[in-house]
Amino acid sequence: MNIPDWIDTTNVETNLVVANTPNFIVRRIREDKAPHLLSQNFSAEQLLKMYVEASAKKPDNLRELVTPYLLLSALWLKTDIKYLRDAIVFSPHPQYKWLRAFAQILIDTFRATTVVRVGPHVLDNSVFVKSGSAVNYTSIDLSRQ
Amino acid sequence: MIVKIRGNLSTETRLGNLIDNYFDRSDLVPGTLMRCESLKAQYPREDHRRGVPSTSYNCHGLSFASRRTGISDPTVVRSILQEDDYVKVDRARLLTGDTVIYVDDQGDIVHSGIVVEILQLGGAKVVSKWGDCHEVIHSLSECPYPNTVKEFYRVCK
Repeated sequence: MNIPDWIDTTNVETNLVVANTPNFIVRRIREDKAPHLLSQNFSAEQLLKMYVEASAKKPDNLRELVTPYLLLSALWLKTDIKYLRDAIVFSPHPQYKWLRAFAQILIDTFRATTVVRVGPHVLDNSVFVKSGSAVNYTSIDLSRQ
Repeated sequence: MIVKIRGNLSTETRLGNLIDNYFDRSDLVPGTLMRCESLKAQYPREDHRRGVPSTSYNCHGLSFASRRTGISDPTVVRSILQEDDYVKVDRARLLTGDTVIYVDDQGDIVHSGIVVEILQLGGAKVVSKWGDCHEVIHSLSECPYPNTVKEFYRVCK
């Protein structure tokens, strides 16, 4: 199963192409929206299954090349490190040259997190009730000073 | 003759410690070339050298291994600097041939290159390789490695 088309991987692709070290790509992917969207929309089991399929296959394009990195990053955002540890058991295709080092950095920097979904903020009209602070002002005519 | 597609070279520092390295001579993933071309448009004032993108070496491979292989572990680059008699130099004393490394806010070396021209007002031109893309002769900060501190080194013995 591929990652959905609506997840934009363009920036991650560019960053992977210019990366000289796995550390660089770890930081850039963490700053991107894509792993967060994957983590929010798929369970850890689904992400792991997608990772196993994607990393075993020779990538045919840049989107496929970045997919396993994104999936590992999405697993890193989950609360349980078990799935990340399970992922590194599988041998990736050699074209994913930094995948093992990448996974190790994620495991080394894993922190259990809890994601809380916060609903949209609804504006309360009472905010706009005059407080009086801007009502009792004095007008100064500078031309008469 | 056996042709190695991927592998590493036997190389070590002057103190005899192995330099972890990796080269990959396989074909590029389709789309890489197009992405490298878009970088040329993004940095139009820099001198994008002829030559195709390559996964056989990276910037550190250019700076520290004569373009023969890739070095991707920042701690290995630090070891080379320490064990191969590199000395840190001030920017004001910079000379062509010196090595520049780009250090991010976490202290990791994310890029390196070799100074090829000293400009007025403390500027310099550097030749470096941008990941899997081609080599570029660029101004110190005109490259896709933002928010980095530049450190300069010279081999003195």
